[in-house]
Amino acid sequence: MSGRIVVADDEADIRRLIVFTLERRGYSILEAAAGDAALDLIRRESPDVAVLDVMMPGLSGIEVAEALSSDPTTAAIPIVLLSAKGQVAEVQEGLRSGARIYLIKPFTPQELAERVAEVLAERGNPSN
Amino acid sequence: MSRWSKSWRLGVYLTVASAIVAAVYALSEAVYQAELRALGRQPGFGLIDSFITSFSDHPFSFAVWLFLALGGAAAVFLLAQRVERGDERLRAFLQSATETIVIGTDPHGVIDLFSRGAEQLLGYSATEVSGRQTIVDVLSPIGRTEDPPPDRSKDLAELLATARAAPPLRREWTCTNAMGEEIGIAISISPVHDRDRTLVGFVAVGNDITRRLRTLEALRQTNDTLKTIFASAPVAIVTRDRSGLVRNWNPAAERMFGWAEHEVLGTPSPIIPEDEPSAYELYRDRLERGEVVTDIAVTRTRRDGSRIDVSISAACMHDQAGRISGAIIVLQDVTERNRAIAELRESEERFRRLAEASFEGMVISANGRIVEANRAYARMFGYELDDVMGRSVLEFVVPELAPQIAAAIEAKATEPYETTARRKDGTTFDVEVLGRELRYGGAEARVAAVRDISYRKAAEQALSESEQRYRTIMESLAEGLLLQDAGGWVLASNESASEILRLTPEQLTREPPPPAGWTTIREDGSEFPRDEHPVAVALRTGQPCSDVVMGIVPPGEPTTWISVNARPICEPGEALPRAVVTSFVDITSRKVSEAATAQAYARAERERSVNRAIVDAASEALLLIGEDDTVVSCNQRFTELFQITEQEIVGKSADVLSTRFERMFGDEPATRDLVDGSDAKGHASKRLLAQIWPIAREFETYSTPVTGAESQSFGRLLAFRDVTHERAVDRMKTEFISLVSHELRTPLTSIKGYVDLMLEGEVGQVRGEQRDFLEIVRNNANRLTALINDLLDVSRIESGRIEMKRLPVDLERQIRDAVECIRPQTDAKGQRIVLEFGSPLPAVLGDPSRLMQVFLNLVDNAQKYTPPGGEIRITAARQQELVVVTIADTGIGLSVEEQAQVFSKFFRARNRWTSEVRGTGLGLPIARSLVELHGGEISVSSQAGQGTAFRISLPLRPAQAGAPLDAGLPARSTPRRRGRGRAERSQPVAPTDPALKERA
Repeated sequence: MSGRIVVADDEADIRRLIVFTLERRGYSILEAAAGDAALDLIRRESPDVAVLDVMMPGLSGIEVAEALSSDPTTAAIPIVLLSAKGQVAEVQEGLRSGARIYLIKPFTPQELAERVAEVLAERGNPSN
Repeated sequence: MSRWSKSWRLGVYLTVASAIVAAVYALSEAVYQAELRALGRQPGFGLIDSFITSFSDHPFSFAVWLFLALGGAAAVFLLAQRVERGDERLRAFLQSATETIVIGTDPHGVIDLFSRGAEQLLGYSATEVSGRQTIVDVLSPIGRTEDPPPDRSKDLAELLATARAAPPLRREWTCTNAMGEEIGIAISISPVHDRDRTLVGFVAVGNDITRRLRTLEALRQTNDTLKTIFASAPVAIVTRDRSGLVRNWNPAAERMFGWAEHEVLGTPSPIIPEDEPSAYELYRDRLERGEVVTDIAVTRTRRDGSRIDVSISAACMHDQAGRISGAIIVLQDVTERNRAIAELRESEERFRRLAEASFEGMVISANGRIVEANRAYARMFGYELDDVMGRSVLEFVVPELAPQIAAAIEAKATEPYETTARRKDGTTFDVEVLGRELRYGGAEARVAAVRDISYRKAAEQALSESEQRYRTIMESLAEGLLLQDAGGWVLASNESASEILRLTPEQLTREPPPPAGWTTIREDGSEFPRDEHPVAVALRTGQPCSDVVMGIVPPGEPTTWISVNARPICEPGEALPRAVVTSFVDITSRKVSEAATAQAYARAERERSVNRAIVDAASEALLLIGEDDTVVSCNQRFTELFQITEQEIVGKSADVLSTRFERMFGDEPATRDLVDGSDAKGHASKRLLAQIWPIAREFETYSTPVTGAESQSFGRLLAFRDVTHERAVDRMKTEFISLVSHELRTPLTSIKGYVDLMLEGEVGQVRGEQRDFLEIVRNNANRLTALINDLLDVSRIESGRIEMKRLPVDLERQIRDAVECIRPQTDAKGQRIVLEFGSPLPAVLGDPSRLMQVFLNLVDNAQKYTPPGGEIRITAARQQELVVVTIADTGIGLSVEEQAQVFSKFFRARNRWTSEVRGTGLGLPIARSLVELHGGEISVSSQAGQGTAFRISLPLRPAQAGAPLDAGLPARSTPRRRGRGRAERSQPVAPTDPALKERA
């Protein structure tokens, strides 16, 4: 399984958990610790998937997702949002920003890996 | 005889004559003088004296006188000579006269001479009559046959005496001759004397006047006739001579013109007005040609100056020579005739005008054909006037009725009848026809007046319908109605009257109500005399009586109280009413309940005061707006919150609030909706309003319709609750929860994540106790996650901010899924799960994840409290509009006290497995809240030692209004920008189920 994934989370522990989990499954990972850095990275690298924490300093994950969605060059990049906020409205806000997946913390590494695999599979087969 | 002898004899005669004269004179003188003496007078001039005196004055006259006396004597002498000599010769001559009747008689009338002419005319021969018959025998006048035969000897004596006394006697008469013929004779009879004046006979000389007499007779008869006509004619007859003078003037003329005959005869006619010519002048040419002119209408003048219309006929009169001698004029008074003609003309004209002016069609027909019609008739039938003439009258009725009309005309019907008429264009209409016979142009005819009664028919129809309608109205009235005549007798009544008075319509008409034997009382219980009843008063005074309360007491029955109105019906011009309409209502129950009403009113008033106090004490501002959008009332809190006095708004239009509200809350649609009530049409609504002026505040507003016990609408009630503080706390709580979520979940994510990685061997093999301990970490992390989720749920539920969807939910599937979720645990403990579903369960409207949460919590609870090897029995069945789910375990059961607390937060039943049971203590309270949010109920029943059963009943279609379920309504499209309700709306768009994920 291949693919380039940008992972952005200000919590280093969690970022490491994500990176570890995804690298173990053969993805190449680019990391960012803040929203604006993540946006620059994604625009520069055009990854296959972006995994973004919502609560980040600078731009939030949702703001990054909105920026990407509104830019035609990056609109096609699937986004997985991670957040501790689990109320319905919060989930809806996240999904409206253009994210494909909104994963509520705490999640299991297994669960995250499955979601990313799903997104990549859809991307490889757009007719799906 | 010689001349001289003659002279001699003359001298002798003169001498004799003179001697006689002298002797007579002497005698006369002697007598005269003797008389004078006898009278005592002086002898004066005697006759002779005067005579002589005369002669002495005129000496010549004496000579004349003497000469005359001598001449007379000579003449007498000569005549005597001649008679003597010619007697015989004359007799022969007379005898031979053939043309002339000459009859001579002796002094006794016996005929001695009978001329030839007499023989021829009278038919007798001279020899036959001479010496035998008298003159009367042959000449006696014809008497009428009925007259007695003439006494001829007397006639003869008279005749001869007359002839002797005054010769000659001339007579004309008619007599019968010997041949029996009537003849007319003119005869002259003279006596014949000899010389010494002795009567020697008579001579009659005559001639035949038979023709003349006959003519005269005829003339006389004609004249008599004419005279009679002239005198008795009803017309005036006047004749005038050539010079225009009146010659005849009959009595009719006298009567007609007032002039008597003697006044006008010989005068120019006084009746011809000065300015008019006479009839003769007018028609001179024609008259002189011999024509008779008739019927000339002229005017003549009466004696009194008045004018008279006459009709004149005139002709010329001629004399025997054929010359015009004058004119005869016949005048007839035509004043009457003219007046009659004028009247007739006027009458005709009047009739014609009348007929023309009439709206009724007038038609005269003879033999069924129209000979005269007026315009109205023609117009009525759509014809031109000329076009109807000559048509058959039957053309103007519908063909099927024609025979009937023909029969009516034939029978000369005089009764008016109605029929259906036909216009020229074939359309029909109703008419009334009145026919009469009359003479028209001398022949029998029929005049008919035709009246269009289609309007009347329509009016009759309308009247009938109207009457029916009024009858229906009368019958449908709850009021009793009576129509009574001047004597109080009932002419008409309605059903309510019968019901209220408890009298049948027949009983009502039997005698003027109320019937004899019934008593009537006033409100105070005193007797109410009949002649003071409203009906009697109205009839007596002609004035209406209103709202008179009267008790009617039939014998042995309770009193019926009625309120009576009596209204008299007066004909115009009549002082007293002819009838009276009485209306009345039964007020018995009202009377009875009046006391109760007063009590109820007092009670209500008390309650109202209490309620007012409560309302004023309420912390919410309350405003009641009536149906008509005026403010009915508000409470004290309202006036405080909105800085407005009650007087400023109560009774005013709700619009007065709009301006104030706009300033306070901004020009939001919500503000307007609140005031005009458009968001509270028939149901309650609740919303939040943010006040922006003069201070920032938040209100929760309720708008709810206010209805009475019988669903009558009183308007709507607005309640404003100041939730500024509440909302602030709420926000803090929400923020706290978010913080807790984030701050707890983030480390939990790391703990769980890394433990999972290790347990999955991602970082090398984990063995023995390492694995056990890592499992303990993971379980506690999961427990902590569940606790956080439950705490968040409780927080949301309690703050009313939980989101609920409203979707069809398959409960059986939900239950089965929940069971599968805990299968690992039950399997681990050897517990058995029994599922019993009745007939296929209907879908329930609700939030699938929340219902799932309910079942998970209950099944998990049952599993925890069921001992190993125990049984969990789950049943579900529909009961009417509910689905009832029971989850029963075979655990230790609950005491009554425990049952009462089982839904309390953080409650845990104490039992020997308590230490083993790991729960948050929030599952059952959350389950109960969620069930209740679905409009359902949850209950527990238990017997210690035998297990516990939870019973959940869910309505198939939970009520939506008023319940927080409405949080599940579709969200507004831009909730963030509107900023209302802090984005608590949900949309069923999440590809994952967050609620499930939260507890995964």
